[in-house]
Amino acid sequence: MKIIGMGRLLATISVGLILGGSAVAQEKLPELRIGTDGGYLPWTGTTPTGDLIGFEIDLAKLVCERMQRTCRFTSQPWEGLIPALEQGKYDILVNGISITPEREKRLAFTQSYANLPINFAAKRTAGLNGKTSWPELKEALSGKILGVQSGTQSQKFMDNELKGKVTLRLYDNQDSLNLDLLSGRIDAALAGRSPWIALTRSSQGQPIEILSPNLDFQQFNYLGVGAGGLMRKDQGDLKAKWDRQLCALKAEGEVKRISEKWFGFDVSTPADPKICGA
Amino acid sequence: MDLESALHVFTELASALWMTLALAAATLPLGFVMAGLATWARRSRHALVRRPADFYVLAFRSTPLLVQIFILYYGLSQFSWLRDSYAWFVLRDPFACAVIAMSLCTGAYTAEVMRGGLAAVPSGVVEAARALGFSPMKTFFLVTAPIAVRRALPTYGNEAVVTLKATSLACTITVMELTGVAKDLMGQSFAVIEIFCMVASIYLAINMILMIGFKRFELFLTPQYERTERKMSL
Repeated sequence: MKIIGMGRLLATISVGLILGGSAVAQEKLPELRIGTDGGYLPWTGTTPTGDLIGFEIDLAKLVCERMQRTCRFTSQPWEGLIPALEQGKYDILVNGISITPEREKRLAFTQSYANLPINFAAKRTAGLNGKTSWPELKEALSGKILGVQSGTQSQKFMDNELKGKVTLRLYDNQDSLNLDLLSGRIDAALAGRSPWIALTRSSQGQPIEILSPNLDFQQFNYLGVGAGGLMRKDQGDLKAKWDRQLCALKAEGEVKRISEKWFGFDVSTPADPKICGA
Repeated sequence: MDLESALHVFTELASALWMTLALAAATLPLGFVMAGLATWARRSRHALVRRPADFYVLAFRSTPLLVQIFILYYGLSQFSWLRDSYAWFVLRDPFACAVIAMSLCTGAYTAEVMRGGLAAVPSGVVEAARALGFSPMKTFFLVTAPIAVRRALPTYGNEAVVTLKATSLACTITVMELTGVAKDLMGQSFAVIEIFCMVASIYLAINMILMIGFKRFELFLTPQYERTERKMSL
């Protein structure tokens, strides 16, 4: 009795020690600092009370949970995010940042987790809708004034397909682009499909329609593989861990689920076979 | 950043420099005319002329230029009656909007500079000119204005430099000047600090030339007997 009791006690103590020890070890891991600009819904946004929400926030929270790390999200304007990451003020940035070879020269990306088709939008009265192929729409757009948000894949598409054929205006954000499309300063605008859905559903966006065809990434492969989390090149360890969780979440369909919650359709990309294996 | 991309960035920035200079070259003379009109109106005997001019100077000095640009560009375009009017031919163009907003703003500040210059003219000098039988017109152009210009020039030079730097706000309404192109390039390569440093050095170079020009002009206007060693230094 007594011996068994002692044994139990010892076992309890040792289990307690192991648990306590691992808890201490976990606490020692510093929290991950995640940066975002919080002004680019449905990717990342801010509620009126200041909480960060969006597809990438939900996804990053889930990755943190699976990695059993505490994560702190901070928002600041886009221009300052990259220098702050380089100075080590953040561990990872999630902001719908498209993976491009030019950007990979300087910083490291996780594997891509989302890729969004892009569409032109214009006023219904412009009569630009109903084209069945890109060459047909391209013909209709030549000589027009077009708008696009700078630094996006849409801008890259414009530069590649329409440079010299149209007057191109660059905007800081989607809201300004919407305003000028509504006022008629620009004849048509290009952006990811999701902001157009948001605009055409709003009351002020009624005169706007989304133009066919969808411009997808299979057709224009220079648009890249999609968006990923951004890190410094010296963070290979974190990148490997983050990627492993992404592989798992993609396989479980979690990325698809979060995408449908925020975008209304599936924007998730398939698991990268080089990272997740076949 | 490697040499090839540095060269690419530099050529892009150099071509954007012309847009910055065009903005400044259109804004400064227009602002000067606005300031001249406002100064004339503020010295009027009639309150009906004076009050609106006073309000113009007050309003444009008390609000940020960025807000003025946004109201003119995004704000006015909300009214459909305005979009159907002839004013839309001018207002639909971002370059024109930028020039109008910046001219109104710098005009208000320059009006204050002019007021300061005129206030610095000793009243005795004006009285002497009038006593010698000069007409009010002649008194202004031959006596008051030369003294006021010399007093106001250093402050006006400062205002010109501020205006040149303020052209960087035009990129918020899609005018692709130096800062706008720099932001675009940063989005492509992520070389934020390097590109900002290049942009800063370009602004520094233009403004240095501008300041030297003003200093030379100031020296040119200073009579021989007032030129001191220090003023000659530049």
